[in-house]
Amino acid sequence: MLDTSQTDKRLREGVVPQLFDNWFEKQGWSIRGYQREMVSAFERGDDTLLIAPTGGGKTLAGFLPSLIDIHSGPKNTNSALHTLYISPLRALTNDIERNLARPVRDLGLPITMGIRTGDTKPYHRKKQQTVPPDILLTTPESLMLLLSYENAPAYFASLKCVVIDELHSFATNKRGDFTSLALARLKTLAPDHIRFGLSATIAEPKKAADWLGGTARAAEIIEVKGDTPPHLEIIEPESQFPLGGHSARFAVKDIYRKILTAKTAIVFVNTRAQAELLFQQLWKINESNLSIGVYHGSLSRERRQKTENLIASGQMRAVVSTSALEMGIDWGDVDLILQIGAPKGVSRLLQRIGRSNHRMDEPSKAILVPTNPLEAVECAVAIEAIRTGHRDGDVYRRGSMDVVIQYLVNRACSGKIKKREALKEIRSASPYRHLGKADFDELLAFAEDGGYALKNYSRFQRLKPTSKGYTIASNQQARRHRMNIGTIVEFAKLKVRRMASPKSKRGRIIGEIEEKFVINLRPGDTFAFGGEVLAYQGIREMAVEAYPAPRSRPRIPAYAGGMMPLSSYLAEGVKEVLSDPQNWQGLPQQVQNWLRLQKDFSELPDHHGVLAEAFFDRQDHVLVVHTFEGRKVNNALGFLITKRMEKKGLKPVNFTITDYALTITTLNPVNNISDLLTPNILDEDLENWIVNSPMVKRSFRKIATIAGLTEQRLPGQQRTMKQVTFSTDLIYDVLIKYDPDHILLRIAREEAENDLLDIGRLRHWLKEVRNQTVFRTLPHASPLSIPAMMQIGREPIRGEAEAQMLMEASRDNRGNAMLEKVQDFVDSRVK
Amino acid sequence: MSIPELNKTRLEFLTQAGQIVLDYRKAAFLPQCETLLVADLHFEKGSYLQANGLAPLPTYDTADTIERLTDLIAIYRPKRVAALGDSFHDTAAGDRLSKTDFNTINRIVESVSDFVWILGNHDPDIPIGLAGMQEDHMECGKFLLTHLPTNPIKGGVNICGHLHPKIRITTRRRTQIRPCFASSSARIILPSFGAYTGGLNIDHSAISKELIGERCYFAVGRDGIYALSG
Repeated sequence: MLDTSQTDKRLREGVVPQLFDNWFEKQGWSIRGYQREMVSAFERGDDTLLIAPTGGGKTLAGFLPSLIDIHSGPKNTNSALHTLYISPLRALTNDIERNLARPVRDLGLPITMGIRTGDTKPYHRKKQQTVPPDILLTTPESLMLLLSYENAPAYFASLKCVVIDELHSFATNKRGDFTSLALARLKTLAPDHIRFGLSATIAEPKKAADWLGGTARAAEIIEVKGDTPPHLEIIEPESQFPLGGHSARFAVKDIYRKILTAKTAIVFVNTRAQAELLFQQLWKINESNLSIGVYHGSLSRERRQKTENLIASGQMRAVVSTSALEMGIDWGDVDLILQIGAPKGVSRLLQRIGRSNHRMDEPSKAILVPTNPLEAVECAVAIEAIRTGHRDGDVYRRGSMDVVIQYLVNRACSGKIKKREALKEIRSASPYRHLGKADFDELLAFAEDGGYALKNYSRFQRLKPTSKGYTIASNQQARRHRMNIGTIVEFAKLKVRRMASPKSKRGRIIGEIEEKFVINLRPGDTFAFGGEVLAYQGIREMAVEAYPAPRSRPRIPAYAGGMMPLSSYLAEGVKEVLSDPQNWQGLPQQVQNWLRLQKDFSELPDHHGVLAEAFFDRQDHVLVVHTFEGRKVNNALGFLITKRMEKKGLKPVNFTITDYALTITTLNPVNNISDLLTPNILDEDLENWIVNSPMVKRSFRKIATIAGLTEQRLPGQQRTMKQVTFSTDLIYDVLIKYDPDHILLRIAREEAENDLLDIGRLRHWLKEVRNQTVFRTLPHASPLSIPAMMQIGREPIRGEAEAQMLMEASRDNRGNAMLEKVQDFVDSRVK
Repeated sequence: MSIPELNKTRLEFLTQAGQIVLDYRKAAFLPQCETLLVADLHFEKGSYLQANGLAPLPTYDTADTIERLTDLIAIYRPKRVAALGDSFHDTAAGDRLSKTDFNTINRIVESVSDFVWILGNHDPDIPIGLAGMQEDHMECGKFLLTHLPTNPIKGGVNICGHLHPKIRITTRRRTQIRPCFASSSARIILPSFGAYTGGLNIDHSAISKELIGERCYFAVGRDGIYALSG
């Protein structure tokens, strides 16, 4: 039974015209209480957050008030925008249009709908600009673009309602900051419109409601309980779990057998590369010739839409997908979810599971396929958390300042901005309620001309001050800005053009691939893309040309992204399970054996203390500290310990972090950790060590892109080799030297301190585990250390080790041949 | 015979044209004619990108390049400095050069007996009012100093710029990408000196076709120079 609870006040049910009731009845449904409450909220004009489990008619609840309002309102003679729907995913807008089209058609409602995303064709864009639909479905980026046009005030003036879907998925990141500013702007343009937020079940509804409502007033909350708990199990694979890594190869047959039992299955993986790889592996054993597809964000729009339609019409038995399919989409016939790899968070797992069996009162079914024993433990903890109703707590942080810069330029593109009004508008977005005047001035100065301390070239301007406020300095600047709107910074990408054969002259674009990956390809090299193996031919007209290659083992595109941090709740839970054999019962037998092996070979991590293991692996000394404290603590600890190591001459090479452990590679052995794992490492001067770290340079690259210092793609400009390698690192180095207090550097430092490191929690932890450290030196890596060691994404240390490695490369460049050659080279000159 | 010393800030050795010193600060020195060599300064590249890329880029690159060149002159106290072309990023660079930077460059030029601007493809002219000689090429004994790779006389060595060589050094633990000197018996290509200059991998045909026979690369580290075979 569904039950509605109200946190703030008793909500009334709104009036729904008979026509609508009849329609619901004809579908064999009835209008649910909370759907009526949304109608009432609309009548009262209250911003409202609707939290409901998947499959409960949540989307319809968001749109029902608008449908009724347009139905009962005066005949719309001039077309004007009534409702704006904002979705985090492009695919979702197509899906919503499909689902809304039916009641609109059946009821004969005088409603026009339009989709505006990056996929929308120029012809439709233009039409929407002149004749707005009643309901416009869009993404945050496309909305911001619409807001940058000069006609934005007129275009949005008629707005009555904004529906933000899947609010939980982006409210707590930069994309959420960005969206909150767009919402603030809409409030200025159409002060009386209502905001509706739709969200899956979350830990802290109040915070989400604050975010939605803005600084002035939090939104009301309608929370629908009554999920049917899902059926969850961990796969019992035929073969052994690999000890580390994230490949599902060992379980392909098991996965295939599960697909055979389902009508339609979605196989979720964590990265695009994993998707391509698993898809290949499944087809290799696809004896029954099942229709199995692959889906991820790098595929072209046509490919994605084709797959979506095949699933929707029940013609696909399974699709291997990244998170691109994990939200909202109503796939009626999906009856099985397979989750490959660790779920990383309870909410994320629930979201994915929710893709199956879209009826609220029947349980969804999901099978978890961990790819190593530690992930198996994580899966078991997640299943238990779901059973007990736990949800991850999201961190609502302060809005990022780089996003403000982009916003200011966006504002200036559409018309003059006055400082005071702009600041007020920005502060009305809840992530920015604390934005200070001084910071704002610096951000505006950067938006204007870079805001540098020394100005030796003053002709450059992005914004132009006039007596009535700032305006964009030129059309070129506006164009440049519009091409770079957004907060999702990705590596530069090239289009992939599929040629029928090496001799073909023409081909068609099937998607995009990272430039970084392409640089390492030589003609003839094969890679998996869009579900087939392609051979690389070359780059022509800014696209990678490739033709189908005979099925060989491909190199897999190395997509970045997909490195999802684990929720701290799961990390804690995993430690608890590991530390005590009593808690192992729910684990697959293999995993229990693995843990016993750990116990015999080394130690189990103590629930209160910390286990550190040192061993020699190939040519390096490795120290693994099993903190179970999450990435931010491990990152901070990594910087501090390596700094201390550098001082002690241990020559750290690099470190890697997982949610569970910190792994440091050194050139000299670590024999004693008493002065490494101690609170006094916090006294090390971290400032310089971090400022020069690649980690901060990486975040600077993203900040520089969002703030418009560099761009993802230069409009109409073909980049030459030299420009490709001209990196933001060079800019960073010069800025640090000549303008160390520059606003962008400050943002990069603050972001590192707040989002990448957690010094406060580290301090607390170091005190807690003092005198409870177990240090073991081992002949080789322990079972528990192997997953940590196989983690990718090393943080290189800029220290003595670097010089030593260059020296070694120089001295024994492939077995000493090198020095002789240098010698020969020199000798030949002497003669 | 001299053996290259490893892991030092400088590397001194004898080529078929004579003695040369390679410095990890991306410069070379010819002891015989007391000449300091730098290539591809690309002054005002930042302001060029700012104007053409419409981006609010910081333009401290010229100041930084000047500062590092001044340091080198103080260390080597050369009679002559030769900038091997592409000293200015574009022909309008002089218009964007700040008064301070303009004066500093002139002071540097006047601080040595000879300052030679070898002209490159980016800078067929040197901004009006700047001191120093302008040359298409220069000779120092059997060394031929040019911007583009140019063949020397028999037994000579061409020292040039233009190509911005970079080398990828993959050790088992990590890959490092470093600017480098790229050389074969008759040619040494200098790394680019400008603060905002990127590089081209030594495997690129533009570089590899200029090196005949046995190659040697000298990678520039943060604190030293390292010899690597081809």
